[in-house]
Amino acid sequence: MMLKIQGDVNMRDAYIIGGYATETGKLKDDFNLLGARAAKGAIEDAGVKAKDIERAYVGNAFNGNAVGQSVFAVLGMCGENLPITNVEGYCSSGGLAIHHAIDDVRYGKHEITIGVGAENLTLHRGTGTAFAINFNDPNPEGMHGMPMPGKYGSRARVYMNETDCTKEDLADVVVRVRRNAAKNPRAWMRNPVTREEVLASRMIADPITLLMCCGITDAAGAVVIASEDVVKRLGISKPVKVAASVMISGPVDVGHVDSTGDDITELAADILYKEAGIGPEDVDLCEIHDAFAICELLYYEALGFCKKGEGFIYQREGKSDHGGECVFSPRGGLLANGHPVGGTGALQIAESYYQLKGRCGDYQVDNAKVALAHVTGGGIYGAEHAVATLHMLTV
Amino acid sequence: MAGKEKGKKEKKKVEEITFYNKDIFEVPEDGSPPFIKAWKCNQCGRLWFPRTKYCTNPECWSEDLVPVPLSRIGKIYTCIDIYIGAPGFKTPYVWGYVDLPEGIRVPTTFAGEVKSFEIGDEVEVIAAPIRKNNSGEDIISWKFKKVS
Repeated sequence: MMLKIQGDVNMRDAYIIGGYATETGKLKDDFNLLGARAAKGAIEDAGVKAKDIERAYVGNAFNGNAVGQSVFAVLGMCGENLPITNVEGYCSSGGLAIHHAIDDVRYGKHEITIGVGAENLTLHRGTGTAFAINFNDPNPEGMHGMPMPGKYGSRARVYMNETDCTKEDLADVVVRVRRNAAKNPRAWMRNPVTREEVLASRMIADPITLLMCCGITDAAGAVVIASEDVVKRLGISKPVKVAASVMISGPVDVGHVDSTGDDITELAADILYKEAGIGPEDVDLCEIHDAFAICELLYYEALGFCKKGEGFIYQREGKSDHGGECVFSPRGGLLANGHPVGGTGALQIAESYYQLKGRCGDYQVDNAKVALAHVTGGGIYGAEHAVATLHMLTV
Repeated sequence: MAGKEKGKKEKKKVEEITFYNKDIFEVPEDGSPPFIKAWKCNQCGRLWFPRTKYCTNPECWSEDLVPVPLSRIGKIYTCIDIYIGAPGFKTPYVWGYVDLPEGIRVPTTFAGEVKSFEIGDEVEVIAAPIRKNNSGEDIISWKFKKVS
């Protein structure tokens, strides 16, 4: 079955006219307050009124039902003037919600919409509990003791077996993104770390140590999406344009798959670059789903920034750093911000919006004109991930 | 909170299993060696693991699926020593995937010590307790050990 390029029907441009990212961390405000803060911030930043928002999509994974309505009720916006849809795509929920807010504008259904991702995990999580195995779920991976760091770690093992990538390369990913986060006032972990500290931290799944894993945090992000007519009416100079917005489901295959690739990312990136008419060589900053250090190296490859098997070389040569070819995780990624599951995808997009507007101060990417955001969600048995949502923004 | 309450209700209804699971793993009563099973579609011939209700070929969807034993020996595709693991698993343990010649990849723990398995090792399937259920009883399923 041929994949259609999303947007090969008549489509108009959509713009991000306002955005807001909360800080990340173990926060006292619950998901509805976090989401409301982000939505309010994005609406105010856009210079529009609450009543101007025509449609809302709210991404969340674990906070239960009617999350979106709860968020907008805090702002007095839940009612007959604002249809709200709740979006669940596991870790991709926030990006997915924004994708739908964008689609509503670019396919001509609405003029102004909002996409939000919000999550509070720490207020609802018992100490020491992990996501419990449902013994009635015929999922052999879960039944047989697969932990998430182990799943990614097992891919690192194959990668290190097939290339000259070392555990020091994994540690250096963390050093670099923590250095970025140190300059981001919103980041959870703001103290830099050394390679030795990363390697010496608690062993989780060999070679993945504690500092190579993202933590569990809370946060929210939101962006207001609008048509070109609205941009002109509001007189917004240098608006941030949505060059592409792509989501796909994960291919399911329990056969002999190359787990150093990331099939869903590769497929989605291909669509993204075609839809945007922009390739990886033109991207200035990239927020990716770096839940574990190995993810960065594999995604440099899967997103087409370097050849297969050379992700660790791309990093060794400084290409993923400031002054290199593309700054990866300028906000500190998931590794330094933690992973507020449904919030992450929205944070990436809101932070990318800030970058393109030149608002990032000490962690600003120089001359940022093109941003890529990539968030996966998942998964289900046999799929590398269940969902992937990718965005390309330009200014 | 909705999600948490839902989980509590499910816990009360769950049957305590002691074998995982009869559709995809068999320990013959006559004492011959255990084996993993996949399910073959009689209509289009494709092989599926674990058991599926429908043939998962969207151009087929047949419900006429039959179990087939898979080879007992495969190769380690990847293995990793786990020090902080899944709930119910005593650490450290070795976890990973085994590629069986029929084109199926099986998730598994390995019978043996950390630092003693390598990618590419030939391994053989055995039956062993893999974890406990909520009542503290063993759950028997497959594990793989090095071919002697």
